[in-house]
Amino acid sequence: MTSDFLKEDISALMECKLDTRKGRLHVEIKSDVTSSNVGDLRKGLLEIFKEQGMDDWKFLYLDMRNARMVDSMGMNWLFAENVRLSDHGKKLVVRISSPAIHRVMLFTGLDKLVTLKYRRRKQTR
Amino acid sequence: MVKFTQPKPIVLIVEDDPHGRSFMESSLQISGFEVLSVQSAEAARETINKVGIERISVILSDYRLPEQTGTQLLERVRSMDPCVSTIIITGQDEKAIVEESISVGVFEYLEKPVTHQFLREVVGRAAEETSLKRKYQADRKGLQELEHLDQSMNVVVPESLQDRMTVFYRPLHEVGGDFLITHTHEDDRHVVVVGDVAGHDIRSGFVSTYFQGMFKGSLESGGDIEKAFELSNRSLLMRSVGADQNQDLVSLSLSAIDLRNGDDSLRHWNFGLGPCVIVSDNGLIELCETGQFPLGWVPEIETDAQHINLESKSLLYIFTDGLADFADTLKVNLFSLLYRFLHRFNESEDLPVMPSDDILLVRFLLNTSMPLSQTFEPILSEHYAGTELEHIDHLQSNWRRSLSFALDDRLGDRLYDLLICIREGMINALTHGCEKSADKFAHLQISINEDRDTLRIYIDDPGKGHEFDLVARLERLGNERGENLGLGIIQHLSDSFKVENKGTSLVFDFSITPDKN
Repeated sequence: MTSDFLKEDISALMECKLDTRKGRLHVEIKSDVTSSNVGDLRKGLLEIFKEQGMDDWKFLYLDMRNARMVDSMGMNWLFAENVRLSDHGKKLVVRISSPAIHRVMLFTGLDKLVTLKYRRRKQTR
Repeated sequence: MVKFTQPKPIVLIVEDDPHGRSFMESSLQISGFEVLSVQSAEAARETINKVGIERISVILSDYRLPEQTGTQLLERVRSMDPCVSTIIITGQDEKAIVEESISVGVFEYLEKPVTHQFLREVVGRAAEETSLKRKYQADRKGLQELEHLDQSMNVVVPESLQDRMTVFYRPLHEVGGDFLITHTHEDDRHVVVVGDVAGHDIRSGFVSTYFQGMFKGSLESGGDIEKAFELSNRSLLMRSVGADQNQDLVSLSLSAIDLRNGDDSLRHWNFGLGPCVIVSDNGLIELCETGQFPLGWVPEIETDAQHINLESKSLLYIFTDGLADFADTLKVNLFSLLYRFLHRFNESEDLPVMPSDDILLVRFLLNTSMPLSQTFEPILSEHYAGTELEHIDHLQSNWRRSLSFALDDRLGDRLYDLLICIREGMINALTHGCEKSADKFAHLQISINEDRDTLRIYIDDPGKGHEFDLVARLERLGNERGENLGLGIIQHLSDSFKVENKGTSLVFDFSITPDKN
C-alpha cells in the first residue's frame, strides 16, 4: 500500500496534530468505532505513529467525540492500543461525548486503565 | 363555423368602441357562438348576474374600459367562477398589460387589430377549455361525494367489535380498491374479511364495491364464507373471459378470519394477500401462512381453513400490500410504518412522499382479558442471511431509521444503547448461529409494550447453541474483556436480558422513557 493512498484513507477516518510543547499527540476519529472500521483505524494509527515518530509525545489524546457508538470490537481495539502504548511508556487519554459509549466504557472497565474525559453532548446525527 | 356537440357556448363581449364591438359580435355569431355584448364593466356585471356565470363560456374584454380596466373586471369574474375562460384585448406592444393579464389568469390576450380567423380560433379554444374545466370540476365533486360514502361504508367497525378492532384506511383515490367487511353472528362469532382488488385506479373501487356486496349479502343471509369465496372466484373468472388482451385479469386478494368467543383457535383463509401477523403475549411476532393465489386466477380453489392456535396470543394484524410497498418507498420496516399509522395517524399526513396504492390495515385483539395497552405491538421484524454480516452498518442504519420513524425521539440517547445491543446480538447470530452462510437466517424482532414502558428485542438464530451457562459466564465477565464481551455489553446496557434455547435466542428489554439511566 502506498503512503499517499493510506493518507487519503486516513484523512476520512482520522486526523492528527502533534503538540510537542505539551508532549501530546491529538488524534481525532471521525466515525463510530465498530467492527466495520477497527481494522482501518488500527492501520491508520500505526501510520500516524510512523509519520509523527514516537519521541516527541507522551500522551495520545484520542478524540472520539464524533462517535455515537462503540461496539465490542471497537473496545477490543482500544484495549489493545492501550497495551501497545503502555509498552512504549505512553499514556492514553480518550475524549467522548456519547452517553452510550460512556456506559460501554464504564462497563468494560476501560476508565480504570486510561484517562477518560467525558462531556455529554446531545446526539445530533 | 366551429361545430359544437352541445348547446352553443355563450361569449360575453365587453368593449366600449361600437365599431370594434360590432365586428367581434358578427365574427363570433358567424362562427357559431351565442354572443352577448355590452359596453362597460358595470353592464357586464349586470349581464353576468342576469344570465348566470355558469352559463357563460368565454368573456372577452377590452383592456381600456370607461370605469375600470379589463383585467380588473376579469379578475373579479374569475373569483366568481375560476372555470370560465377570459380573454383580454390590448393595443399593440403593451407588454405591461400582457403581464398584468397573465398574473390574473386570463386564458389569452389579443392585440388590436383582431382578425376574424384569429378571433374565431382563440375563442373556440377558450370555450373548449371552460367546458373541460367544468366537467372536471363536476367529476371531482361527484368523487368527493363518493369518498364520503366509501369511508363510511368500506371500513365500518361495528359496535360489538369497537374494543377489539382498530382500522387504518387510506385509499389512493377518492374511492379505494381495498375493503373491510365484518360480520357478527349471535354476538359471539366474528368474521373479518380484508380484500384488495387488483389495480390502483377508480375502477378497482367499483369492483371492490361489487364484491363487498356479495360477501355482505352472503354472510348476512347465513351463508358459509367458503361459499362466498367460491362464488367470488367464479364470478371473477367469468368476467375475465374474453377480457381485453391488453388489460390484466381482475383479481381479488383476500384474507379472512372466523373467530368464535371462547374457542382456542380461529379459522383463517388467505388468497393472495401478504401473510397475516400474530403477536404473542410476550411479544413474539409470527407470520401466518402465505396462502393461495388471489381469487380470479385459477378455476379451483382450496377453501379449507388454516387453524391458528390462540393460546398466549394477543394480537392479529391483517394488511393489504399497499403497506409493504409504502414501507419500501420510505425505506423503513413494514412494522414501523404499521405502528406509526395506528398510533400517530395525523402526523402520517406529513410524510415526505405519498403512498402509490390503497392502504388498509386491521389490528384485532385476540386476548380479550388483556387491554390493548398491555399487549406487545410489533415495530420491526426482519430475517437476515448469515452473509448479511458484511453489511452490518447498512442493517444498523435501517434499524435506526425504522425505530426513529416509529417512535420519533422517545428513546433519546438510549437509541444508541439499543443499536449497540442489536448490533452485538446480530453479529453473534450471523457469525455463530448462521455461520455467515447465505442459506441460514437469523430473525430480529422488536416489539413495544406501552403500559410497561418497554421495548422487547428477540434475536433468534438457527445454530445449535452451546452447553455452557452463558448467563453465568457473563456474570463472571464483570469488568474485564473476554470472548463474550458483545453479549456482556447487551446484558449491561439493557434493562433485562435472557438467553434461551442454549443461546440461540436472545431476549432483552429496554425502557422507552429517555434518561431513565
